[in-house]
Amino acid sequence: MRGKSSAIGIIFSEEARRHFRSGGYILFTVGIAVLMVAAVWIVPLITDAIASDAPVPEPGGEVDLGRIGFVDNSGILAEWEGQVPVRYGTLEEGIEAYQRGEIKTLYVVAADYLETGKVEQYAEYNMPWDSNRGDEEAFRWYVLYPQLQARQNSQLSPDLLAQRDQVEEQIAVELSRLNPDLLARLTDPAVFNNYSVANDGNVSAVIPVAQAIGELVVPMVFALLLMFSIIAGVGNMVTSVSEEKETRLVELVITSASPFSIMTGKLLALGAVGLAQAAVWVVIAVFTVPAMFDQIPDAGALTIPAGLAVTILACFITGYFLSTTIAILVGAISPSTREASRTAPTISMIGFVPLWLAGLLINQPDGLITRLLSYIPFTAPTGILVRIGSGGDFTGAEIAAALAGVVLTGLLFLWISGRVFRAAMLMQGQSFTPANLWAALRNAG
Amino acid sequence: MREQVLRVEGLTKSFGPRTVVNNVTFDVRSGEIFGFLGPNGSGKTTTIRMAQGIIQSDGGSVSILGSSPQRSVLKGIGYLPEQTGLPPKARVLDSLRYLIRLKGLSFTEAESRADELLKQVGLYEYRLKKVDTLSRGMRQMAQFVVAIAHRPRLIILDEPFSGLDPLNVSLMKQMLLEHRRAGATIMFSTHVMSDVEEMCERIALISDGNLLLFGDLGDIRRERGTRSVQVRAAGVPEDLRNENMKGLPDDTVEYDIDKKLTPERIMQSYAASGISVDRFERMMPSLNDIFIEEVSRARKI
Repeated sequence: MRGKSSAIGIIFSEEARRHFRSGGYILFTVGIAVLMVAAVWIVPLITDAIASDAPVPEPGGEVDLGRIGFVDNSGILAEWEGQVPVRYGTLEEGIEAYQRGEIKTLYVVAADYLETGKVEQYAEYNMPWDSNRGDEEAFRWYVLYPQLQARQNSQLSPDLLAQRDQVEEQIAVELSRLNPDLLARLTDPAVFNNYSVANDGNVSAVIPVAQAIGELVVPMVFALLLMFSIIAGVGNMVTSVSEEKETRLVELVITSASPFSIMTGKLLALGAVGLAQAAVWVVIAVFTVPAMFDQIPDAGALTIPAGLAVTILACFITGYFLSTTIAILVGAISPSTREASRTAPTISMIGFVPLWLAGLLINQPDGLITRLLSYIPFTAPTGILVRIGSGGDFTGAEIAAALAGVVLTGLLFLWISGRVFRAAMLMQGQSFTPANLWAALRNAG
Repeated sequence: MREQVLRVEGLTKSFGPRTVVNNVTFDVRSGEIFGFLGPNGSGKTTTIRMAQGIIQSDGGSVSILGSSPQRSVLKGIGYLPEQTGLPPKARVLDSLRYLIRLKGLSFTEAESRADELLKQVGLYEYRLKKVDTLSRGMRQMAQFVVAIAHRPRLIILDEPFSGLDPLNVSLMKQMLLEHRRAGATIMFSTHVMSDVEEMCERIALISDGNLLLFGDLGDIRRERGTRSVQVRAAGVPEDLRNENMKGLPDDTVEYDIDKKLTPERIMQSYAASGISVDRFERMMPSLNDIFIEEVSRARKI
């Protein structure tokens, strides 16, 4: 048998129960979860669709090596005699040819290629997840691999080679004894490091896809999820408070619980409901994201830095806290549930200015507007995530200061709500004017 | 004299320039059913809210269950506000359990008490339905369940019978009487005088925020004296035939009393005419008459 609880506990449990059972909440939580599961199939299709137009060579098919140039610092291509790909003496020469449009992709084979497999790939990369798979495969299997095979053949006895089909395993054993690095390269001819070449010839490293998604896309995705959660949370809070006011239920509740208990119970319940929703999404992401990455060629493993995970969680909690405390006040001072429901989206929208402007901010991650939006308490939770997602230079101390501002503003709204809640909630059907607000603030005991 | 479970003294409240309750004083005694009367907008609800500390008074004092209206005391009170609604999208049982738990009952106690009372008021089959599927009268009865579920010592009901059909009015009255027999004190506000005459021993009447009457209902009626006399007899004396009288069923005649036609003169006339009288009764004014008279007089002033 469940025992007696404090007023906060009762309000918390009953409010949480009501929200958890609400059709809108269930639909929204499950809907996002279904989208996440669907992404396992949809995202690889999209990455394929946006991949470079360079054709991926089919075994035995035609290969366009004219798009490719190379610089060989290892000597593995010393014997290369073909017209294409074009050989260049230095990286600078290759980049100049690229700029002149003579080639689409430049490969630089590292001096320690045989040991490491490193090959630098210079091409046009607008986004980290842009693919150049066609040229990669052509260079890997039609340029490097034949040279590796030729070198292998030169190191084995003619007798052994003559019986190649029968003694494959013996050849491998022999080769691993003679040149283990060569055997490794025959298995995996190239490990590409990508560089983007700008129109002015400037070269910049392209971070691996998984890293890009972990550090840039994840914050953006969570900023969106935060937006959805806040829209739902603010709507629920405003409805819950204004409904109690409009139906005069508050008259019953307020004889048994203080305004502070009512507000705290509601806030904790809504916080728990919001976090539970986020937890469901995170758990599903834990299973779906690796499955999704398995299907994206060369995606690697997704890693989310611990600091980023903490920042996302902090933005989520503080953003939710501030929005719902404002929602309490709006619910209490609105003359009707309908009026409150009309106001709720406005509150939510203020917080999402950084997302509306994401297209602009992404190009100026440390610009004035981006900085301001990441410091102003009402926009900071999404502003911080958008700024991180844009690759902004944002220190931990700056993030902590911005989020402290969010918490303090939330506490200020909680204090104002606490002082005007009783007066506002008992003014059924009347508009709560600034004069009422001021009087309630002054007269609150 | 019985213990005062509620006493308001000099209670005053203004909203802006308008004084809605003006220096109102009355008390409610343990174990009684107290009627709080007044026309619409007279200040009844504001007084009830101030008595429970829901809103602060501008002046005066309140003693409720021997204390100021603080939350620990208010948990022992059952309250049915006027025109209150449960959350429309919530289930009936969830809403009731929530409000009953706030009065200090555990989860299971609240749920079983809600079930028990919902059966009593005929709403058990609606317990898992949403509130907005109930009719207005059903909602009123569901909220009545909240007011009495924790077996409060004092039950305050603001216009409890409004919106109820006669069957539910009768059921609610019956349940209130049961609670009174179990020791509860009941105070309810209304402007339906027949409900008060049927149930209340003492009343307070306010109009435009001012207390017009307060005290024992019988005393109030007696103070206003005899308004008419009803006589059941075999005939009517000759000298009374031209007086202001009207015939009632069952050989009864009612005479309106004035300075010339007193009850004594009527009695003498019957005695003198030799007509045998089966019943001679001085009729007190009805509460309805008193209400209209007092409120009209106060408004003229």
